[in-house]
Amino acid sequence: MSTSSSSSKKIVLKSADNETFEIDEIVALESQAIKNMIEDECADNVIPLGNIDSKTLSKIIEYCKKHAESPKKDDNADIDEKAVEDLKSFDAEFAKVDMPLIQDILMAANFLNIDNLIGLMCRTIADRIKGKTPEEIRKILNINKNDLLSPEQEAKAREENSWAFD
Amino acid sequence: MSSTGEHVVDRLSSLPQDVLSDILSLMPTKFAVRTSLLSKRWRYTWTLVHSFDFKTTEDYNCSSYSRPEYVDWVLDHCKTSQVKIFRVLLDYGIPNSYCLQLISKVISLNVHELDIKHTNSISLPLSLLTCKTLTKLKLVSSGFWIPGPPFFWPSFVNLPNLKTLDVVLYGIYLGNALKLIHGCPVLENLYVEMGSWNGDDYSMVQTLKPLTLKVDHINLKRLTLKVHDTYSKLIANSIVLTLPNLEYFLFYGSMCIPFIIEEMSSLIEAKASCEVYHGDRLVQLLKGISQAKSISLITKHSLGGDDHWDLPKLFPNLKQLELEGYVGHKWNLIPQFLERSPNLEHLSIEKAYSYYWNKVKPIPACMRKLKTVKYTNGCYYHDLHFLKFILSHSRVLKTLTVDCCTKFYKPEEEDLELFRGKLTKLRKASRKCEIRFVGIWPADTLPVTHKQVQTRPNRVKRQAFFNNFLHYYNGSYAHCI
Repeated sequence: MSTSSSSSKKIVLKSADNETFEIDEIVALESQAIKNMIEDECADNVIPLGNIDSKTLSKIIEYCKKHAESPKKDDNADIDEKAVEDLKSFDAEFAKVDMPLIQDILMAANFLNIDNLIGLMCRTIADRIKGKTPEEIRKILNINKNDLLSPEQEAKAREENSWAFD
Repeated sequence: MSSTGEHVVDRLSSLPQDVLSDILSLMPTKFAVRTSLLSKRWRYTWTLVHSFDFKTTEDYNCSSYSRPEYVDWVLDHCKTSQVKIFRVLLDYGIPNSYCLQLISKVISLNVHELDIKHTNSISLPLSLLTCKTLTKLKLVSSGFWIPGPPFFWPSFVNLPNLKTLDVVLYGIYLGNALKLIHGCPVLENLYVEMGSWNGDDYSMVQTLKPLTLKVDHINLKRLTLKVHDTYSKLIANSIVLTLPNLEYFLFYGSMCIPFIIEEMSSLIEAKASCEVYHGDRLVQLLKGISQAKSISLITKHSLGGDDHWDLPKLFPNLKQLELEGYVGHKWNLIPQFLERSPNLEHLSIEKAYSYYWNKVKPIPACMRKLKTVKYTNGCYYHDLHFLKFILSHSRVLKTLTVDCCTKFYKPEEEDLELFRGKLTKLRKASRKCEIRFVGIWPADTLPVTHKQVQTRPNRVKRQAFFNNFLHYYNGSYAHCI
């Protein structure tokens, strides 16, 4: 359950653009990487995250906060179902952002080792590219036009996997 | 980390390989393979996939009778030595030797989850029966066999890590499925569906005798049985369950086969959504699940014959009860449930038809515990009779929800207004009880006033009828209040 009382222990995260975020320890523990740092007592008052900008970091904190506060498995099946549904709709809303931010969140989540968030971002990307034509996917993922296959290479790739292009 | 522009390589492909592998494994394999056209950098990225899904029927649109050789090609080119999930749909035109070879290959890649759908009977390699890595297995087919003499099945089935098994038999032979079930010592979730006939090998029906579907398992926690009418009787002649640690039991379909539950004492939740033609089979089922904390019964067909079934003597742990359809419409079952469930807290009834509510005496013990009641589809006078009983005896009731759905009939708006007016005036034993109206109630939430009634002569008649009715039932019911 929620433990957002003002007396609980606080952790301060600092983004690449030097913005600081004070959060409850329980929220920070959603990140396996931060959890390890705290357990090994190598977390100072401020944890610098030099590769995560403040926009991405605030999204990640929003996610961790919701997941840390949502009730965990309980013997009351009713509450369980409701909480699961609530979390599901939160996740669905959370993922409704543009592709560059999704990729930023995914990279940061990967760095911070937040399993559920990595999974959510992977599913979101997979859903957005599956069934699309190569041209559409290139646009979605902003793929460098200098790196395209030559017509011969493309023909060969199509031939190799002709079943996949029917 | 932010970067957009022509000269920067796309950031996704610079992600760690395991993340890319996860993304590409989350889609049907053909879509993952299509990414080979994206760019030079993406040319072979798809070979990182660890999960394979060849289950879309469109994969077969032009080649349903030939071997799907590309499946081998994909497996040969992928880097993984540990397949997480492998899903495949095999058409009946594909030779058995190919299926055997393909499944053997996947097993040699240390597969964790295997999901095979075959439109006919499938031959399985012996290596499947002792696969140590397998945690989840789903087999959908008419039946499954090991190559060898007819009905040959080795006695050494041992899947030491299999926790989830789904077996769908459209066809006929249950024997091998039973051996498989009992060769999984740590099995926790079992799904068995049978009798959904696809019409292929009817000739074999006559050659085989139906067997007893006997499941006797110490670790099983969740069992789902789906029994399709008619053909299931050709597969099984009875169902016998001995499951001391089962927590969730779900039954769907037809109760066309006799049912014996020998042991289910750890049950938390039981749900049956079924067609019942013999009342005694439903009673048999209820006896087996009488230890459950939550029971949901939905029956679709009306039963003929005697209404006076004897339910189990006690549902000692029952806290939540949901009745829908026939079991909800027969009022005489509801008093029995109330009398025999002393710990009932949540009751939900969806009635198909209105019948008169009979007295319950003495007042059941659960009336001191009942916290929520949901009542659906009842907006007739008889229903008020029952709700009056609930309201006047439930001392700790928090909410009574009355849902006026239009599944079976569409009540007149005026009837609804009268009903709501009467209901809100009933005496409540629990002061904190809130009455909620959900569904298609008229917009006005205030009880009908006398003045409103007078302005519409039509309604006066209804009101008079309604009052007469209330008078009748108040009289007959006075002893309970």
